[in-house]
Amino acid sequence: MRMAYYPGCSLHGTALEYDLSTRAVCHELGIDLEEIPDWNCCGATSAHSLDKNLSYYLPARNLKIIQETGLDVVIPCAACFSRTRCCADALENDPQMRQIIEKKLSYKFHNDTQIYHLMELLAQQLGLEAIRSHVKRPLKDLKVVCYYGCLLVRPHQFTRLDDKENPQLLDELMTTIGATSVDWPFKTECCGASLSLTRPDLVLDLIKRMTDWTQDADIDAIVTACPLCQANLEMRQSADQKIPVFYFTELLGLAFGSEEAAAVVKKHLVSTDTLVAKLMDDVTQAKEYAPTAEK
Amino acid sequence: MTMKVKEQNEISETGELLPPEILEEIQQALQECYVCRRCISGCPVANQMEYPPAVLLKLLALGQVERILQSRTIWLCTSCQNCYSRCPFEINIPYIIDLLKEYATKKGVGTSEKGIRKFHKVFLGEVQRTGRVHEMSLIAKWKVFSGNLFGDMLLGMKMFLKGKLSFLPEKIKDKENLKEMFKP
Repeated sequence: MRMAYYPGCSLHGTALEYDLSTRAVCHELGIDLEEIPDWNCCGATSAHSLDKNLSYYLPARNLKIIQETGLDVVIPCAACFSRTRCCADALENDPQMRQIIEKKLSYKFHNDTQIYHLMELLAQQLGLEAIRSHVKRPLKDLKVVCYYGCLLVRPHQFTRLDDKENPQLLDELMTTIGATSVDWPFKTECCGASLSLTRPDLVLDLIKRMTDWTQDADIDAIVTACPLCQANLEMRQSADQKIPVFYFTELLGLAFGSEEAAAVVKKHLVSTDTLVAKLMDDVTQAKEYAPTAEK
Repeated sequence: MTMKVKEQNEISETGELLPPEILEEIQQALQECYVCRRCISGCPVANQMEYPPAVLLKLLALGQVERILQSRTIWLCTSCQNCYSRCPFEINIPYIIDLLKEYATKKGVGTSEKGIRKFHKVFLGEVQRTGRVHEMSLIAKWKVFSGNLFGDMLLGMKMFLKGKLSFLPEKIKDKENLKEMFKP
């Protein structure tokens, strides 16, 4: 499977783990990722808050580049995914906006690029069976909650992903790799998003509700699919709580016996060392045991 | 008896009107909202807003435009899409709030949440400069602008040591289109 890959700004910065683990996992799964050349920022929250047209131009330029590759695109960041889908929707269904965008960027939009979020690409397009077949070390001792956040499932008209109130895809992915995914009421509650730098006090409150719940329920870790959610959950939990927050690709990588994944999780601000040591202690044995060797 | 939104605006306190292109987009929403409050129940920051979603719509319908444009409310919205997702009329409240934020900014209307608006400007400044957001530059600029030089410093150091904050920004090559996109 060959896919155009749009990492977005965070994955080249504070969400480095997400980028590295995504590449490692996709490599293992036989998905060829081609990072699109000279991509620009999708505009995130700031563009649509201050300048509607700009908030379309930015992802549209990326879509233009992707269209030229002739490939479908996979996007790991929930916000980039949301903005790109929103833009594609406008190009498709709003002739006035489409004209404005096409003129600005001198291109003709063909409605033939599929835009996937990484989670749906792996769980649905590739399928859980394929994922299961690559698991060398099921994460049996891991009790997690899945945090989907807002933009994967809302607005549902744009994302068309899973269920907007009680999504299951991430839970199913976790079960597939052997972990126990516990149901909880905060699956799609907002983490406070970009308020993290401007009103951290509000984010602290929002995060506290979640980490208090996971602490009471003896959860080992929170699993997420968005760089800002991961950052907020990790940085804005109270210092004494120390609940690890993983990108789902990191856990997939650990279950696949990937050494890159094991290295990458060391970069977390909330230490994952104890947890990972518990999970990985027999990875080397698992690798020898596995019928298909890596690389 | 339903008053047209334009008529309602004409009897507002300050005589402030929204421009016709915005009124056109929100007119139906203002008439449809019957304050069922599903939006308010699902809003993560409702308790911080002076005018939580349905209240905001009703105040706009009653011509209280200036008050809304100056509010903290529109800047606190996290665009979580909960309200839009649950509204029985599918009123796109985050989109309406975006229109108001853009308009308030263009008009230079003051707000008590200056920080949030400034942050968005700094963010877009980075995009305009390099085509991408280099988090180190963004945070550095934001600290200078917000005057909060030492907050999160320990966090920043930790991140830098783990290689998560690189020194050098990445710049895209297509400067021409970048400039073009930011042209008004």
